[in-house]
Amino acid sequence: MKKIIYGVLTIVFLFLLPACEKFTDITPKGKNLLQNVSDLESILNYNYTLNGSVQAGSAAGKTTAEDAFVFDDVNVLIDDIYPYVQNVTTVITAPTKTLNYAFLTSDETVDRKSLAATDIKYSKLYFIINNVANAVIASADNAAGDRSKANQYKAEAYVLRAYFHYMLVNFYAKAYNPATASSDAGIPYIKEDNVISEPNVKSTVAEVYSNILADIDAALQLNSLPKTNVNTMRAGLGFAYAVKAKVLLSMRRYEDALAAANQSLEINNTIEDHRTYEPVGDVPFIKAATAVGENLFYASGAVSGPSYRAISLEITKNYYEPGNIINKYIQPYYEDEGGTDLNGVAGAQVWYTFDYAVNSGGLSSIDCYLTKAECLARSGATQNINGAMAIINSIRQKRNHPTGYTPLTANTEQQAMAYLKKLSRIEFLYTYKNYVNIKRWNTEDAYKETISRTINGVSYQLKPESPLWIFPFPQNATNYNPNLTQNY
Amino acid sequence: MYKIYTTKPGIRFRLSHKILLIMRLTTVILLASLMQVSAATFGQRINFDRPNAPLKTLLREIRQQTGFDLYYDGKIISENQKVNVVLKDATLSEALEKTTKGLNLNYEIDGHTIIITRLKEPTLLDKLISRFKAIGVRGRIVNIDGGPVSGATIKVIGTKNFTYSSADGYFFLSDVAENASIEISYVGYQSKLVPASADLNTIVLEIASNNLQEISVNTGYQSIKKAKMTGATTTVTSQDLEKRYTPNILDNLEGRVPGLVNYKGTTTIRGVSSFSTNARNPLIVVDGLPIEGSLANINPYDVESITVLKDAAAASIYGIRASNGVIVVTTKKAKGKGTSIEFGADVTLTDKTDYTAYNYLTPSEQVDIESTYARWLFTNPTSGAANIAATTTQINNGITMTPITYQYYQFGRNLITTDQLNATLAGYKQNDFRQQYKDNALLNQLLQQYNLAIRNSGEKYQSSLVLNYKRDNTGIINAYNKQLNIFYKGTYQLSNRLSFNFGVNGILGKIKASNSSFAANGTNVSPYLRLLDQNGNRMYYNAYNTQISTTPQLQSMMFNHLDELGLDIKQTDQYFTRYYANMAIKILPGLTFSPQFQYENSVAKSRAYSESNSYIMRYLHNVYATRSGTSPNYNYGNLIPDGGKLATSEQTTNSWTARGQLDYNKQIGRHEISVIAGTEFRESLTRGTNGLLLGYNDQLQTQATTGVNFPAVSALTTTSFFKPTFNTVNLYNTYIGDQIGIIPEVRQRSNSLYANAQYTYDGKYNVFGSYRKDYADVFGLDKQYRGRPLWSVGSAWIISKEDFLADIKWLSFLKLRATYGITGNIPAGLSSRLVANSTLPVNAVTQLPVSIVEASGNPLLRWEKTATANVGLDFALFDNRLSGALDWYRKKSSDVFASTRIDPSEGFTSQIINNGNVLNNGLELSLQYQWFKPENAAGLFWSTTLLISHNNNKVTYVDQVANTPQLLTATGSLKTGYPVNSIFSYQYAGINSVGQPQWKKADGSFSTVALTSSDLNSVIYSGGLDPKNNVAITNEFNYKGFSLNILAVYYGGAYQRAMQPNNISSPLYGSMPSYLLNAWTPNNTNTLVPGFGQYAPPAILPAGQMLNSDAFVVSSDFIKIRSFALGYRLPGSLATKLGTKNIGLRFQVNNPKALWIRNDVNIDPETGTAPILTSYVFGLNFNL
Repeated sequence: MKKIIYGVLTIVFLFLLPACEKFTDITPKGKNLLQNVSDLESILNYNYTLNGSVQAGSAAGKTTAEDAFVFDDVNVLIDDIYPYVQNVTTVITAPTKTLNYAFLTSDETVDRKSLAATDIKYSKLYFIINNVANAVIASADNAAGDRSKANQYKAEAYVLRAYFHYMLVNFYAKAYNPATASSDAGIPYIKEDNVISEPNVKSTVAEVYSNILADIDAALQLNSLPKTNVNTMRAGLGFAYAVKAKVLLSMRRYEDALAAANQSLEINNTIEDHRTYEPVGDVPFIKAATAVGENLFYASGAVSGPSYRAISLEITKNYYEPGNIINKYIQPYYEDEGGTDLNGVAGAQVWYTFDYAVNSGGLSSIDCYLTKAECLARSGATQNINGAMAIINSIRQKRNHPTGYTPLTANTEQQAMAYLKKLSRIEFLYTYKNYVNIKRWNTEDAYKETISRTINGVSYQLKPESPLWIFPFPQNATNYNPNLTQNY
Repeated sequence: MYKIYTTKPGIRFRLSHKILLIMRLTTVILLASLMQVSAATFGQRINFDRPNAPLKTLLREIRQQTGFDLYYDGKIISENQKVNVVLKDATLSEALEKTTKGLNLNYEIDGHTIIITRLKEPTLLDKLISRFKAIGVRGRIVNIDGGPVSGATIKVIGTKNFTYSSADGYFFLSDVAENASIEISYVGYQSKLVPASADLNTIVLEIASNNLQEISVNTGYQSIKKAKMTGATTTVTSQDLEKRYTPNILDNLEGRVPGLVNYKGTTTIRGVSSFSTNARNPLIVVDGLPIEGSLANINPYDVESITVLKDAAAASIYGIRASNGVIVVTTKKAKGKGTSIEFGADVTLTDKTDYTAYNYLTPSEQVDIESTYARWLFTNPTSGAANIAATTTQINNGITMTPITYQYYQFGRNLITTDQLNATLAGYKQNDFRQQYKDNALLNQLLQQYNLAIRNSGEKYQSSLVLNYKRDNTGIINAYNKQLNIFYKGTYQLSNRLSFNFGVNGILGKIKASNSSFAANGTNVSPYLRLLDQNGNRMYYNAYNTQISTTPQLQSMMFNHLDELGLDIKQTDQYFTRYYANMAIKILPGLTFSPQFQYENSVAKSRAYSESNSYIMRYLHNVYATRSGTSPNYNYGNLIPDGGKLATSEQTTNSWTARGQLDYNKQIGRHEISVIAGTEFRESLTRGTNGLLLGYNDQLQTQATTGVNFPAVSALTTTSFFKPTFNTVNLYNTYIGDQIGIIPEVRQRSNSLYANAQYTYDGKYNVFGSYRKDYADVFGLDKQYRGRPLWSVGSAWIISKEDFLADIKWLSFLKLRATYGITGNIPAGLSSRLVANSTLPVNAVTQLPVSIVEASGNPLLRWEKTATANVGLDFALFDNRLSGALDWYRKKSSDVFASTRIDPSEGFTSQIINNGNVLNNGLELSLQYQWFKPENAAGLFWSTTLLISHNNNKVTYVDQVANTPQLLTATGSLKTGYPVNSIFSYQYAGINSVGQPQWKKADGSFSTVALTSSDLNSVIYSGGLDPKNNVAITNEFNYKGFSLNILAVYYGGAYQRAMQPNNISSPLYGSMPSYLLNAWTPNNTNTLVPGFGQYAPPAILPAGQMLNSDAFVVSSDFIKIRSFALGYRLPGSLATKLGTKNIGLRFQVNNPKALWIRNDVNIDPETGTAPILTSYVFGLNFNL
């Protein structure tokens, strides 16, 4: 009897065992399982700006960059702007020293890491690397559908991964210095095979850069990137070359950088003509985030521009050319010109227009032009100072009122570089690029500079070798990753 | 334990087993005689030296000295019969020989049992002959009240000959041997043994309220005798449930099941064991299969029994869904022969909402408080003029203000005189909006429930048809909640080997309720306004917007609650159907195969129609009104069409369960074994859609949705002309955007393999084991965690059956249980796969569809695991007068889903992983004592049941996510060492000299601004939200057909936030809280309430800091009489005269005023505000 029962039971169980796993193996709806090539595209349609009508942190909020491309901290540090809607006197005199205080006064003694509980740059950029770029790279080969599309999406993802790591390594590590890069501590380079349960390990700066270049090469080798991108929030071939140029420039590989910049400029060589804007021209001062124009890839704090940011008096005074159309003629500034309401700095101009989308975190043809100009200015096989000045002048021509405009000339690398630095400071206002450039130049004796700002009669200096140039890893990272020691 | 068994009431089930055994054995006389010899050989020597002692005394002495069980029919030995026997070192057989000599009695010794019968059946031949001398036995079974007991089993002991009593309690049993014993049994009653005779007349069965052995425990997978159960279970039978009426059967379990706490709308069994709020509900099983529908849908009149499975051994058979306990509901079956009709009706009338219990200012107080402030606002020399100007701007922008503020604004502008102002204010003081609302809009909630059950039972087929109708007026005009529940089920006995059951249950529900978010509440208007004027005409009220009066294209914004209750209505139709079928196929003796299948379909459809002149449509019309051009030649337009709005929603859930199970039962001598094994497949699928029609007219059946330019409607985020600067995003989402869309489809599947085995030796020693493997769609990408087994073991020892306790007469029953096992739990909404959410809005810049990886795929994800150890003691003392159970448990939940923080470079700042631990320790005691046990139905019966449950809940590990005071004080925050549902609070340090509230920082100093993460340590624990101790006392009296059942409950050890003062800086358009009377002023500094109006705190209060302050945490302890039920059962004769079998009447009071409440802020801890409304139930039931 028992044998029969056991026999029946055993047979029943053996019969059912494989069925169990199969039965419960179902495809949930309302979920993108990244199984089809078309599924990958919607992953790449990430919104690289803040969408004010969805709540931060909500499911819909996660499809947006929120504040990741708002570079206030970076720009306060280098004296491009004053702290966002804060009274500078209060920031300086408050008994509690904040991060803004450290950035504003270049005070190296402030324990920044203890004040950096979180850092949206760090968390969002890595979020995008993992959940946009790596998700697509990991799934592209096995996704069903059009192979050329699959390769295109994979290539786009490689470019994004390279670019965002480039941003991260600049924020949290030393600038690339060929002499020390292989020993300078960098950041974790996260690839598609990342295991979440294992704490990430920092790579050296050299390793990070070689990974970045490898990713760009991987993207280019797929030979599937569209020349012009699907839209301004998607990577295309022009953007890929622009990233490559930027990275190589940082690595001081000027010849290669020049080649890449040229390849990008072949695809997009636009220089927006500010002379057409009212009141100089007759076009309203409007630029949508979706407008291609100079944009190779659009990523920014908002589609409406860097409103309420107060430009530092030093920038207004020393960097703007007198005939600059935006600063002098359009004046997209808050009515209360003193800006005293917001920052307590008399005369500081507060950006106050919601229609001109400044590309603070992406790349544009101007990046390529200025990369090209720097490569041409630099001594070496490709040196062509006149060529560099021609580029600088072609940009200046479209930025300044025709009546006051005169082309500049330079005879030496230093002269050309000085013009380039001045121009790029204005071109890249509100973006993270001034910070990256100054930090990069600070590694060279010929171009290092001390940034000096004066507030309430007190002068503050940011020295080239200051630890403030390296941002602290936030506590919500270092607390949970023992490998993540600070790089300053 | 050894006892003399008599046929007097009180025989326990064990006897039937014994007798079964005996009858089999006695047919073999030879064997019987051998047994006698062996008994004589090993039996103990007996001494007895009392001549002329009563026979019963002698027999008891024999029992005690030998330790043998003794059984005889009470009729064969009279109370006064005496014998003259003296025994000296006699063997058992000698003693019995002497005792029975000349008394026409015979004895048999069977194992350790002595049976004394009339001397008649000594030979096999006689026995054979007796078989032919069969008689027919008839009789009627009634309960102690004289009502018929239908469906009782009447069985000839030792045979398979049995029948059921009919609906009237009558039975007829043919082919009964003349000398046979007949056992009459019925669930919930004490079995009775009577000798056969042609007419047994009326047999009264007593309710077995405490007979531990009698009850069968239905686990959903099998039915086990309570005595054999190793696990902790509580069974509540229909007799108990019917003692009081509750529309929801769950409420009726209060005070009946230790460990089950139904508190503030959530049901927990033995504490909370998961961090996920969606994973704390017990599993509901109806007629053997888990249901997705709600327990509220169970017809309370149709419940035969409810069993609550509490520990691992009892519940582990439910595997991954068992951690929160299991509630097993068994519905009534047709019993007896013929047709029976039961009818029940209960009408519940509830008090009206009492607004005076809500801690509001009286209208007169509110007039005074507002006046003081408004006078200062507009007439003070410093800012009066500026405030008038600011108010003018506000009015132009359509911003609300109170009528009194408006009066003073007019006064400040010298548009009205002091006399006019005072007259208006005096008029206001006479009004009471809340009272008018209560009188004209609210009703006494009336819940009517009617139940009709028609049950039919034949030889081969039994069926039940149950109709239940419920109507609830929901306590407000223009609303109802109706439900019709039809249940038909039947059983075919196709052959001895095959039976077939099926059932169809359909529930139709219709709900009508106000769809207006304003109209269903009488406190959202200044209480000194009027709903109706003196003549009963409706009054209209609202804020002031000058645009409306000057722009005919805008519609009036005036409002009347009664109007709106008729103009904006949501109707919901609910359809629930459940079909099931199962079979029992006897494959071999003892081996049964039972396949089962159940399909559930639940549909909810709603239609919310806001008529064109409803407030919300007028509001939307105005908000979406557009104006272009320049004054005075404006062009007006509207983005949404004129007319009403119809928002529809349809959601469907389909689920099915299929199960195949083998049952094997075998008894070999003293060994009893019972094994089940099976497999179960489940699937549930939910999906639905929401839709919206604009410009809808219900009468004309027209709509204008196709003409709406939705992008333009959603793009209008700021109104510029009706209410300048008003942000429409929320309005759009609530009334338009969110009304159109998909309710995402969710399909869930699980599959399991299970087996359990129970072994019993000698009726005393029980061992149990279970094993289950589960598979679920959401888990187990990693093979290691696929089908992770869940198991349990248990043992039970019936100590009272042991020889060494034979002498303890007061001990009727004693059982020790111990179990250990592992159960699981699945929080919904997680997956071990990497998936991206594709249901989100498009990329706002590129307008392309976007999906986003929301959580990392975690292949290591597995279900939560709870290991429960339980030790329990079941006991009955003093002839079952006192009975009860004591249980101790330790429930250790591990792998609890918890958020753990990770380095954001992993892509996420936190990840849900299995790394939380929760511990629940507890004690449960149930005690019942029968003070008076009546001899007959009319006698006085009084019993008291006491239940005590203690639970100590603690998070033993969580990777603490709260790293700021704001996060830690938020609802649902977790901290190691504290209960899952904890209250963490800021330390309120009172109000400083300038009227600014302040809080203690970590360093002990005070802060008036938001505390930061460095002050995390200043946040303190203020107690748990869940009660730790529950006590319930039920007193039950019966006398002459009257019954009284009183349930008193105590909930202790819980805390809650209550009556936290909001920072009210200007008067509210609505009822204002009474604590404002004690608000801070320079002259009233000894208060915790921040100043109001001109004395409002100088700086803005940090968000949430006041609401989450320790000063406003109060104890939730209370003692209440939950219900008081008085019943009357008409005497049987009267009932018969009226043409019924019995008639019962009921009057019940629920939730009278609380006996004791431990808080001084005048709230009912159960609601957080006003007391639960008292309700009165009037009930009638009868049988035909």
